[in-house]
Amino acid sequence: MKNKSTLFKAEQIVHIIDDDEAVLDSLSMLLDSVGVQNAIYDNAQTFLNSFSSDDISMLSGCIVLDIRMPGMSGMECQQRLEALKCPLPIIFVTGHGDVPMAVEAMKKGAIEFIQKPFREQVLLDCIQHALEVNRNNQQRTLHALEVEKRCKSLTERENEVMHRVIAGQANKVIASELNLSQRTVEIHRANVMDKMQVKSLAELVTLVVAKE
Amino acid sequence: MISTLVTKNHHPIIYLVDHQKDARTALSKLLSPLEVTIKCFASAESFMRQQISDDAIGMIIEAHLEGKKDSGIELLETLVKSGCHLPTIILASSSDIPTAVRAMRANATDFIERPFIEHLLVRDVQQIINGAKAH
Repeated sequence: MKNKSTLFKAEQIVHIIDDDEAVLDSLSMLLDSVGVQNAIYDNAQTFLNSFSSDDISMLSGCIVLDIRMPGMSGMECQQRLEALKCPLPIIFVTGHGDVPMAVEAMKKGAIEFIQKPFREQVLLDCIQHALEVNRNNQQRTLHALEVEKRCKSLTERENEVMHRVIAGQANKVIASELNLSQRTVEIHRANVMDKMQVKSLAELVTLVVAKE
Repeated sequence: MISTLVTKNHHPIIYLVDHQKDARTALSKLLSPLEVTIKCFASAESFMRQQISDDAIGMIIEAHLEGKKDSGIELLETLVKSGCHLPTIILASSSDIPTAVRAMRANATDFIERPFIEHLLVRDVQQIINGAKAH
């Protein structure tokens, strides 16, 4: 099992994929000028080939993706990335888009769809937003894994008691239904709170319900 | 103002918000064979004045209510902000990419350009009905 520090790459990189070299150069310069790390690819296949499928699911940052390119199209690339569980938000950039294409891309999870020509500031704002979304998603994933880990540390009995506690059952009821003494239920309950690292019932409910 | 209320009370409800009377009539008729009650509203204001029913499973909203650009999408954004997460289809009498993207970012399930909406709308509404049944 991968631990916290190796689940995602620490540095966020903006990957720009476009068949037009002039666009690649100018966007790369633009991002350099505001201190945003970036990498450029002149077609989608090159990008996909640059990472193993394990690596691709660990990337941090976002993708700026042209739609119409020779070889693999941007939409096709989006599909491949989804299949590879790539966590990077995608910003589509196109000179030839239409409404159905934009709707389709958004339905498949793109975060933005902007038309060329665009003002540089518009793209920069989109990229900032995408990087923020990427960070939040990562935090959510890490948090879910952490909760999962805590749940797994419970014994079967503790797990049973926890779910009854969450369902609002009183210790007395749990004790009689599970054929335990009330004191034993209290001990299980204390262990649950300890292992789940929560101080109140409300915290426990929030943690477990959010996970489910 | 509720302008049309087809009474099929045992069916779940889908709200239709469109300022064009002809469109409300035509779409209600189009969707009448489906297992759903279509409740129509002529404006965002009249829609906001009522309580959303527990039987509601979805919404259909015109993107530019009363011809005001993106006002239907603003309605959707307001609803989402207030915690209403009904699956929503946006219909657009005129459309452009930024409008479509804005609708999808507001969590619309689909964005359909008029005038050729019939089969797409029936398909989407059927999906909403199926989704509601699955829950």
